[in-house]
Amino acid sequence: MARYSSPGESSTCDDEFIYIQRPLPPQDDGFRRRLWGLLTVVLIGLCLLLGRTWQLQVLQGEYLLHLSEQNRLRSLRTKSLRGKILDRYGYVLADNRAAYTLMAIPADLPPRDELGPLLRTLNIDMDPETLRPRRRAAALKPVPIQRDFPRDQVAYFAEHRMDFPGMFIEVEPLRTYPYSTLAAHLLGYLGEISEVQLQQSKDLGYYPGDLVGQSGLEQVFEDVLRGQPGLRQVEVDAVGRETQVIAARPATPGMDLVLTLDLQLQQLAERLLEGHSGSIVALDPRNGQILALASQPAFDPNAFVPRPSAATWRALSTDPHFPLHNRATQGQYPPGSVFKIVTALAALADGVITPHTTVCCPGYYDYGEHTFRDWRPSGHGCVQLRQALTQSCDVYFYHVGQLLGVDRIAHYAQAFGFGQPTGFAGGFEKSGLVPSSQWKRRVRGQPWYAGETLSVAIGQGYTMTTPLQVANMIATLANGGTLYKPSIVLRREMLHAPTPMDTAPTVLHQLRVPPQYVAAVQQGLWSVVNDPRGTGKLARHEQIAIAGKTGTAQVVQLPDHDASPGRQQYLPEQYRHHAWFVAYAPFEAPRIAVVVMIEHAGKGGSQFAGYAKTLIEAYLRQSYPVAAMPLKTTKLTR
Amino acid sequence: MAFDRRLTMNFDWVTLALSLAIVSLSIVLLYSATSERLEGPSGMHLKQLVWAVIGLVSMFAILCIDYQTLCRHAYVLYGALLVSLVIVLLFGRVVNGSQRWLVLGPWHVQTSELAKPVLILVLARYFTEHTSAGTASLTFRDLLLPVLLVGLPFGLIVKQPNLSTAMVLVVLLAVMALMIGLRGTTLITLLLLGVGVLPLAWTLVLKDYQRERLLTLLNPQPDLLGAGYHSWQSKIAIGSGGLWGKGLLAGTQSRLSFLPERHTDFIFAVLAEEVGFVGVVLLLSLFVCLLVHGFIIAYRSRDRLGALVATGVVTMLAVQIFLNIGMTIGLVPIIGLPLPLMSYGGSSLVMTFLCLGLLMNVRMRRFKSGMFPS
Repeated sequence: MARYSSPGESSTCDDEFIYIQRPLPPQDDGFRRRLWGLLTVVLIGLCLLLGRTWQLQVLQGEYLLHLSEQNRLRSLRTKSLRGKILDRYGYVLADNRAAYTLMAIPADLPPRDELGPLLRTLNIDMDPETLRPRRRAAALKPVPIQRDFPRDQVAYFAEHRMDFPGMFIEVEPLRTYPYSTLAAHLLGYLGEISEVQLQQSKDLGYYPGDLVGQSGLEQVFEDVLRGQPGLRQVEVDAVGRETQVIAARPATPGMDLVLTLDLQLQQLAERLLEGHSGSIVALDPRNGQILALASQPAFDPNAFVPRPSAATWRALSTDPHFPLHNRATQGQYPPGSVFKIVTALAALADGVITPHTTVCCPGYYDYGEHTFRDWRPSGHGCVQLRQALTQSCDVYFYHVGQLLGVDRIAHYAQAFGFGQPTGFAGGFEKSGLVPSSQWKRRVRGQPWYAGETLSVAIGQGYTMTTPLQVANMIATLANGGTLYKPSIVLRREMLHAPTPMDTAPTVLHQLRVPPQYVAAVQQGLWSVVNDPRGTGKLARHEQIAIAGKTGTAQVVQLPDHDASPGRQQYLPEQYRHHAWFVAYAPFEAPRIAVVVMIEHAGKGGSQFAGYAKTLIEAYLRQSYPVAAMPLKTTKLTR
Repeated sequence: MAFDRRLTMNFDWVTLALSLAIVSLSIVLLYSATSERLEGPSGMHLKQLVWAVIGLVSMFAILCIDYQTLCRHAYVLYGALLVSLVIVLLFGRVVNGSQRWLVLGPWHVQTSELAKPVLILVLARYFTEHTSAGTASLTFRDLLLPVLLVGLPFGLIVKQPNLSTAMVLVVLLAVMALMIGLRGTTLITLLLLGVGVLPLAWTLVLKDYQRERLLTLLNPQPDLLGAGYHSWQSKIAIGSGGLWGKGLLAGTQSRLSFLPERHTDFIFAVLAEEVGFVGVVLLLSLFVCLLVHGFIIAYRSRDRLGALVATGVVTMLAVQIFLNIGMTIGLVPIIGLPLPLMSYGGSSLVMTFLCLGLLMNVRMRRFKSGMFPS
């Protein structure tokens, strides 16, 4: 017995014995024969490898070297067609048009000192240095030199393209907004992607110079509208011209956004606002869909295509009326008497008053050492809730506010959506402010003074709201207490795909107030418009029952004599009152809620009640006065 | 030491020299492939050097234990392997969508690599025990256990998913069974069964990207942007190297990042681009020498166990060499298999050295059988 492991392991020898009993040499010829076979297979395999490598390196070597060096392979991107933006009936609000863009691949461009004069022959005055790639990897990515390249220049370039190495013409869709300023703030505009945005969206395949949404819906829905760019693998020659397309994957166009907006209502709203600074918001109180969202003054987003000229930009950004500012969602104003709706409902719900509680109004209200004035110096007499709303009696609400305290008012204001962004998807939104004792301690480091509550009760003081929030509040009252998230996108549509369902409304909050109290406030608002003594009589319509509420918001604390309505026109514009009018109709089953907000109007909200009536009438009857601009009938055929 | 003097006399210098030559070539290429012109070498070649030393140490360690002893404990090793694979599935690190790595302090270990030497030992033992020389061919019943033995780690590795490593195990089983000899009817039935199972595997086992790669092989042109991209870029890199290559550090395809995974699975493309056909011939010659030498060891081994171990090692190396190079030159679909001794990666390198250790082990002990002198 052989021992070839350490002697101590003798107990394991039996196992070893078993293996050794199956010796290979010389009896195991079958195994050896098969070993030869395996060796043959392996050698054939290796010969295959060698042969194939020979084929690649020696036979095709020159061609492949060619590809790898002079004739480089390029992955070029084909841009996807950006989705359109349409109103709810299919009118196109944002479209694409074909344009020529002069492009360059930095790696293929001639040296700097030759490039400058070369560009000047194409009427392009540009520092060649800006075309130098910032990173090595970017040298092969095409960058635009000039977008919307004029047609005659394109012709010249095409004739002389041999003289312009590294440059080529690309047909690129550019954005166009057929109704120019219409809903400009909401739609937004495109701009070249910034270095920071490029970093943030690394995985999305953006190239430097790409046009991306920079504001409004164009920005918010960039990923939806953009689509999926295609790819083409092409062979290019030494000066970067395409010689052969090796493979291609077409681009997928972006999805179309169908908005909840009603183009004609929007047009009407913007026409009403002409000459004012302000905004109009119209909502469907049944689901929170935005029917119109107008802000004036506006801008023409076409001026941003492909980029605004320096003069345009300067004019827009230094205009004292801030035309780029979307007043409907980013303007914050004290709500004025419109807020009395919230105060009234809060007081009813918390049992502080009943609809029949009577307060006598002598035209002023003494509180502590202070005297709070009513807007009508002679007073309103003894009023109950309904008359208090109808005539917008300040003293009544001073009293109610004092009974409620600021924190209960704040609670209900928040329940109506004030003090936080509504969450509507159309872009950046301000949150407004609902003051409370806690807020004041935290932010101002001071206790709340009871006198301040009186201002809050009539919508003055610290309270700040955006027109969209106010619109949502009145829509909530109109529908009996459901606070919807205002929606702007009805649905997303894809070409050659079945039309999807409309987006379902999102309920943010359900107000828990006994219905008779909601009805009491609604009755008050009906009287505002329909009572001969109502502050909103201008909104009265013979066939349509409209309910509404006026509001006049003080911008600054003024001495008594300057605060009176008659003095307003003598004040500098920025000190004049803001005017509000909110309304909904039809009273019994509301289908539209409207907010008219005019900045520094110098007149009370009652002066603008007629605007709301015009909008409501046109919308409910679907009959619009002849539009100032001919309607483009590029309706979608589906 | 109770060490037989003949052991040192029979030390297998050829395998050692060949493997060291290939590793040296690999380290030079890694230096070249991972150096950025601006930033200089990345240090990966040094890491690989450390792994090579670890590999050599483990190779010598495995030499000290007779392969017969190793085979006697094969099932213990097998158990350890299964445990390690389960641990990877439970706690492993996910890289590129696959859970293959076990993190042990600074080390990231791919335990699936261990399956290769362990299964070589297990299968060699099983087939030796259950057949006698020259007589019976394998029947279905004989194959049941080995299929199960391979099936367990196979399943665990596919789950990671790491289909290519798992496939190597299947090839290993098939070759070793064929070497013992299958009964004619068994062979035919198995072939028919295989044909039947393929469509099932196509739909059930393969992932979308794997199917795409297979289809790409049949028709590479239409999808150069997606699944065909690697293959096409790799072919350009190789072809552009020509006869003499572009020189070390001068490869443009691999350097401009056209070629992904250039230091791991596509190291052959870097070799071909920078050192040309000459370099390819050099590397393939080294591999051929190593494989032929392995065959000689199998042929002349003391017993059938040794012959099977040696055959297993040679098969494992040959399959990986063929599949890896084949994929870079577009002969087989793109799969994630390293090139033995060449690709960057510690687990694979150490495992290859371990397998070579087994080979040397067989060769060193071929004269040791006292009972049946040859």
